[in-house]
Amino acid sequence: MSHMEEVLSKFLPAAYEAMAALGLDPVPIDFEIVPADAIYELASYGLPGHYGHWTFGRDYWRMKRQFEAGAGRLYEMIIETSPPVAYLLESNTMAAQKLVVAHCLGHADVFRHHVLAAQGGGQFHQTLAAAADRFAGYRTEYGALAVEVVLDRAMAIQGQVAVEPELTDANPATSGPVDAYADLWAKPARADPPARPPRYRLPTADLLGFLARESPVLTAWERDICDVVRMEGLYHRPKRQIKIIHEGWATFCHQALLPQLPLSPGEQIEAARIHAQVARPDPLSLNPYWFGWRFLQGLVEDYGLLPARSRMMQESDASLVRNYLTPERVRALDLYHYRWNQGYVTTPQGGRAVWNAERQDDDPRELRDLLANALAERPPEVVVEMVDGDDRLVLRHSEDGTALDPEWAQLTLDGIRQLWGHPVLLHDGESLYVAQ
Amino acid sequence: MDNVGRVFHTPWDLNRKGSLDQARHAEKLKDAILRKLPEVVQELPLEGGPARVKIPLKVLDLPKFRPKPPEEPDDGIGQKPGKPGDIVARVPRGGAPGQGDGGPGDRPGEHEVEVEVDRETLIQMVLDDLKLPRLTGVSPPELTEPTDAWNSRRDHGPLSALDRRHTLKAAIMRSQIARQSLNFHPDDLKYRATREVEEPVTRATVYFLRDISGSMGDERKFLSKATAFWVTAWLRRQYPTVRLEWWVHDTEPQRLESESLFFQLGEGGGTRVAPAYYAIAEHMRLHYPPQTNNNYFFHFTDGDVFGGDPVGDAARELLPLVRWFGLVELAGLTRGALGRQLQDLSSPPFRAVRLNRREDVLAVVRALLETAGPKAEGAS
Repeated sequence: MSHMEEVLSKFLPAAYEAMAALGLDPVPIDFEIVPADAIYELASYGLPGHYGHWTFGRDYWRMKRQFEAGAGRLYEMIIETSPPVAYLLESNTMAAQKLVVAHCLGHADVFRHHVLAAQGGGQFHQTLAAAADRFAGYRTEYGALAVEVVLDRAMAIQGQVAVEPELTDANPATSGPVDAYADLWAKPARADPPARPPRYRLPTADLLGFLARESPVLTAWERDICDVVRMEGLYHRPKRQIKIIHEGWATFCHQALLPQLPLSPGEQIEAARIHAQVARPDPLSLNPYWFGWRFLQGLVEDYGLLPARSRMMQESDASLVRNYLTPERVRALDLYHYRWNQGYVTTPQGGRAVWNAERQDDDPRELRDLLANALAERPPEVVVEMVDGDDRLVLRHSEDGTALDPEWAQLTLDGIRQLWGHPVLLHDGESLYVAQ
Repeated sequence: MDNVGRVFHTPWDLNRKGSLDQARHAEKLKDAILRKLPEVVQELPLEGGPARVKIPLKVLDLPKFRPKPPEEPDDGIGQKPGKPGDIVARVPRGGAPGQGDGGPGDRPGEHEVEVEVDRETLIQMVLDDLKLPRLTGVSPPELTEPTDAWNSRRDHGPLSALDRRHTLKAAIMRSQIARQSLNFHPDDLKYRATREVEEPVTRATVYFLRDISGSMGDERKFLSKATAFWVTAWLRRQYPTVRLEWWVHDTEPQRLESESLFFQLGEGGGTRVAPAYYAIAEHMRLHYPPQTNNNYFFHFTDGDVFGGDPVGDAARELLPLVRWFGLVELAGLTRGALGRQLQDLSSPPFRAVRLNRREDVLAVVRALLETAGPKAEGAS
């Protein structure tokens, strides 16, 4: 047992006790102290046991480079499994570890109580790990490049997924409770076997799912890859909607806990320094640690700790802002909306052209709506409208006030063309993209 | 108190997934670097210069459906005490929006990364890609130079130089003579060693001649420099020593002391090429006679020449002195008078190319140096 493990094992019950004293009951967490490489790998893949792809390799490489340059240090990485696993950076100081443990308890509280976090059952990483094993088999059998190409095309439209409840009802074979051991028994003669797998009811926003099931050209293993990528897209979507709540509540909790916990004066100062570094306001963007913490702190002052928590646990970031960011809070937090204007400054070396970020005099309600819209931002919705007589796939980008980036849309469409096997059309307002 | 979780600090598994995917990404980056190379070269001096080169690249990403990025830098929400109208931040603006240095207008999702590459590796990558022919240079028999060759064996030496094959051979011989089964003895160990051998010296001299009469805009300067860079890089791979000679001409030839001047001079008067060719021929005969030297000659010009200039004769005098005579016509006229006058020269060693655009630099270098094939017309 290492020294750090020993100290933290003694610290942990004290931290849970302090949480309980506040009336909070986070789920138990498994803490694992790991080297920097491991934490950056986990952060770039998002979940342990994830399948490989070069985009994760790229993120891993960039994060490691930042870390080696002394910037962008990741103190911890917590993963919503059951129980949750929190990875702590080995090179953290003891004060940092204690701060991070307290921080993670806030995350664990959200895991237990938030309506959006409770989905999924906490076993998705095992689904992914099983998929990673299958993918490794596909690599051996069909070649690494063939697998990568399918992954490239599927991951490009990972945002264009949706839950399709009608799908399960449409097929009599799969409706009703699933018996995993049914194949052990002699097959009963079925009166009316379904002629083909369930058809998607069009239009559908589940573009990737539609391709995975209905594409006339994909083989079984390619469908499997598309399906796994789709599941992952669906898994991540609710998690992205409560980022500020997560970080804000975790920061609130470590701030509330630290004074109660056994830290030496030196450690308290070090912990306060780290807190000030992480949760600091930014003149050009909204730091989720700072904003979430101060915003929730305001709610706690107004409603009391537990009532504020139970409200928060029902909201997404966007709805929390829309419902509770009053003009008084906007002013108290000194939030503003800024615009970039062209300007000039004179320096000893002469005039220089600059961009000036100018603070606007907006109505706080407008600012609230602006922020809520920004937080609610979802990937563009692309709807499968129909398959025409020539087997061409007709897509439409749902009206959301912004046109698609033409260059990227065309490249993405070319990938969809390969998954579909026939020409694909995409309507975006007035413009039409075609992949022959 | 139970249900408070646990703390583990165990050795972390040897996990290579991140490194494997990182390697795959690096492979994809390499392709991107190759595409970017013609622009990178502009910054590099032909001689000396930094050992590692930084190449700015767009972050590689999968295409996806995304909203059209705004033309103007995007506004946002921030936090700081103050009042409306305050300037909360200021970043330098370089020309149009979207070219700022990490400031606003950096389009979302298109951040740049800087990749640091070894200069030699970089050159190697390009030259491998070009697949240029190998050269056989002349070397004077009397000129040799001692070098070390690994062609000998000794009984003692560093373990890294152990010669397993000969060690085994010695062990078999000894144990067979002693009528024993195969065994090893310290005396059996044999080590590779070097011995001095006399190697014939080959060396190359590259003459770069540039017409400074016309205006030499940034574009032409870049084109000539990039071509010179790759030609030199290729020759450096073929010859242990490569000397560079820098010459310019308007109506009179002039020999320069350094590379930097070569790319700076410009805006002269008229153009006479023959005197320059004669002068260089004279210089070669005096300093680098073709019997003992491999001379390469490359002329960068806008293709213009005065009437009555005996270019053809001068070039024919130069031709037997060089192993290669490259004429590079830079962006401009459809076909310069110079090219017309020289088109009858025998090829090889004469080769004329025309270079109009940056993208064509490597294709033109290939056309310029290919041994076989008809007179290249350039790749524009």
